[in-house]
Amino acid sequence: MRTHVGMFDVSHMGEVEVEGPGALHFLQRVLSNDVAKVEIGGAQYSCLCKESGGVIDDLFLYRLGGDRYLIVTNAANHETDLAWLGRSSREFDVAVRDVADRYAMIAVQGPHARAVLSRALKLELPARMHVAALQVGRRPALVCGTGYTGEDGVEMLLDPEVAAPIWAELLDAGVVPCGLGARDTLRLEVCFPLHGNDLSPERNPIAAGLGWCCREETGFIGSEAIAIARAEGTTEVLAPFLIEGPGIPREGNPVLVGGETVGVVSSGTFSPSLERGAGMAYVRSDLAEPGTELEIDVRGKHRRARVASKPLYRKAG
Amino acid sequence: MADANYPDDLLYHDQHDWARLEGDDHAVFGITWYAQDSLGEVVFYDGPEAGATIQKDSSYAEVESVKAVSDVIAPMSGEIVEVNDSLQDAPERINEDPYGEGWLVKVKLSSPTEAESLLAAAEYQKLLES
Repeated sequence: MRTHVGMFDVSHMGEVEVEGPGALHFLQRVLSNDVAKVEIGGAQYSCLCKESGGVIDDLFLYRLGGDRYLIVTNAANHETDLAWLGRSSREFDVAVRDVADRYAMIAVQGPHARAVLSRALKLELPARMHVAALQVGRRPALVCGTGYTGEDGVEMLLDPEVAAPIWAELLDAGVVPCGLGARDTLRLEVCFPLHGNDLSPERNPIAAGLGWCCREETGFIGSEAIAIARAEGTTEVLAPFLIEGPGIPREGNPVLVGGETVGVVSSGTFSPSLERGAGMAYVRSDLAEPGTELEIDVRGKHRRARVASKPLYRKAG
Repeated sequence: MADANYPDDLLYHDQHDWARLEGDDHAVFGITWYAQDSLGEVVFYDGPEAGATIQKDSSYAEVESVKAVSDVIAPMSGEIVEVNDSLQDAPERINEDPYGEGWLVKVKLSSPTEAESLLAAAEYQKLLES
């Protein structure tokens, strides 16, 4: 996938449609980013936050029309998101619809993804961070210039009836099927956080390094708490790290400095691109500078590690 | 390694380890085709050092794939006399050749009669099918 093109069946992801004259104001209230900046056909990454600033979910927003938007949620949070969005929408002139059953989702990612896909399916693909309503398999589809691997590529929201034949067609075109384990490794190599590991309702986006997608001036739910966190800093922050020698860090491993516990691994794996153990950990904020030496307690063995800069894996050239 | 295979000249432990007896009181240990296939691509092997004592039915090493880490159980007791150092840099040998280049340790057995409790290839395969 890092060198050619792979595809992932990510149909488990949820979709929520938001439509109505109050759509923009509603989304501006619930999402952390500045939704007003999203043009028709545009895409934007955001957090859905509680009043405390805790992250309920992280998600992509696509603007399909003047007052029609689509949110793609994490499967495990879909029901929670729906309930939260439904409750928060009452004071706005907007309809919030669960459309998860309407879409299958195939992500085609890799440096050759666009070339292979546009040739195989004869599509004019949208630019990065854009969405286009196209016909795929003679059915309406949404093709999004987004992904979760750090490579170029698209994510296709398809009519479930044509998803299997399209998958087969892409397979014939030489696209390599990849599992979600591979996807988790790829996203971790480029330090994309995963909700449930690196993001949670107990931590705010500032601690997670997602301050860039929070625009407190828009007055979204959680913005007051996040403004304070941004101004004062947080006790712990999410830091990427690499293991210096052998050992593979895993979620939940304690992080130590001089025998003292200073944090916990939120995501860890073996990075095939870097050929060593790699991960992200919440550590005391004074220990998050790249180069800081850490020890990771991997099932009782203390493995030497060092805070690295993002992304852990950088494309050649 | 594409196809399941369980050589007849090995003895098997039900925790998916094998032992190849050498002489009266030595044996080479490794994990079975089934074990490596269940783990997937092995990316890390954490083994004991020569001189360490290991106990039958107890863990003496760890093999780790991208998705999972697994204890390696000693099929017999004894003292490690040789370790497969090449696995540090090439743990994938455990997948590619689990009974050959992917061997883990060579052991001087403290109780060679423990071999009687191990399974023959056919018995082990029956266990896998059950």
